[in-house]
Amino acid sequence: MSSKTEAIPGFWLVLRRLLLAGLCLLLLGTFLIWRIDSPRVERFRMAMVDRAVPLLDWTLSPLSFAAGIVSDFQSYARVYEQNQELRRELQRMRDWQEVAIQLEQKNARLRALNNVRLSPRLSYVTGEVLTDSGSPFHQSALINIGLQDEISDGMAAMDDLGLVGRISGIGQRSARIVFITDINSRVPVLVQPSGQRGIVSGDNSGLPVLEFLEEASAVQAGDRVITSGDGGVFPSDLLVGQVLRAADGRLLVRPAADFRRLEYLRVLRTVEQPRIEGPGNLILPPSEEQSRAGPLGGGR
Amino acid sequence: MATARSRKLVRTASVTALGIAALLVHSAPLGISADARALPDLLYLLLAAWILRRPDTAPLWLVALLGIGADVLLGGPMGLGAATLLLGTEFLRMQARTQADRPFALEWLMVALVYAAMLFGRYIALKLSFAPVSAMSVYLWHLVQTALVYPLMVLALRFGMRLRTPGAVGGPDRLGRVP
Repeated sequence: MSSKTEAIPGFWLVLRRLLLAGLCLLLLGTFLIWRIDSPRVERFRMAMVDRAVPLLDWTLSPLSFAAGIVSDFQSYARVYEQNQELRRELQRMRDWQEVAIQLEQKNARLRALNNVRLSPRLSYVTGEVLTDSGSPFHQSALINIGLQDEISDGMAAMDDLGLVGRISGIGQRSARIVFITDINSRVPVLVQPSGQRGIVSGDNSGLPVLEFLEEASAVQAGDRVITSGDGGVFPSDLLVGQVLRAADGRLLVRPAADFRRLEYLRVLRTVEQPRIEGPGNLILPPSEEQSRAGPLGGGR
Repeated sequence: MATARSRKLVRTASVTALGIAALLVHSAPLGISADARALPDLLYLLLAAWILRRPDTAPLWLVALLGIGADVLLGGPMGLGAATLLLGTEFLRMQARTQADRPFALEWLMVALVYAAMLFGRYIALKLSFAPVSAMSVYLWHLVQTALVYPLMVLALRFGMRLRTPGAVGGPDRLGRVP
């Protein structure tokens, strides 16, 4: 063992230490930048995910197919129970169908009387769930639609019934949806029928917390929770869920969206509504009106 | 010489493939609901078991790349998961030298403690940067779950990939010498 042969490993060891330290600094720096300016890092992240989407597409489908078979088999085992359940549900739905038809006819009559033209404020585009976060520390999913489908950051995502979350990070062909159960999610809501405003904040459990109510005693278990549209991120009147009261007295929300069977998500394309901030632009002060009318009057 | 090098390459390639597979299994939309049982950290388990046995075939850059891949694909704090994974596996790499003398129970305990330290590091970093953090119980449950799966991972790698500690049962030792 001469000193020559030992010098080389020693040199490599130092280089390796440096590399390790550099990598750690780089990664922790990324974390800091993520905390400071997360939209930029999210854009970078989605650009990387966009590259991986084709790979994800064909590797994940067999996996989810296999999982589907397992869960199908489980439900096959209790098919009789389900049959009974479905029969009862069908019975109930028939009642509702009758009510709905009557309402629809009434609505059509009223609309004909009124000759109203409704502006389509919301349209939506449906995407398939590619991946979920697979971790107990954050609740999110990737879907296979992105900028090329004319959706953008912050738009709301729903399943067929209730609010699922909003887009946070978007690429050309994919977008990340942060669920309302995620610890970073805050949704301004309205509780019906009492009309209380509050915030639904996720805490990585299945039941997000209902907070910041003006008068919590006015809210009862079973009340409907819908988005209020405050803050302008979510459109108003989307169903979020139902109020529950926990054993320790806190108010929770049971989401209406079925997170267990999330396969397709609807992303609502919101059209920017003109906001009326104050009275200034509605009625112009007389002096301005005259000065505007001036040249017109002169032309006449 | 050529065969040893090619064998090493094959091992590196297989740990890469397994790491990517772990990421894909994590991200497959199986348990989307927050109530659903989340998977144990398969990537950490794989790398821990592998690095304790064959530290030379799972190099630093590979661990870094897989860590970054996990952060990008699974969402959550960018860079933090990769940094803690790198530090944790580097610590295990230092312990790999004495792996042959260590009983399995001790190894298991060590891997669990390193993972606890990693989770604690993430928790502290999030707290210090004023990010919202999950409850401690979520972290503890995840730790217990991950620690419980470690023997299964070791068994699977042993019988699936013939991954053994060199020098343990009459094979060539760390320096490639046959006793």
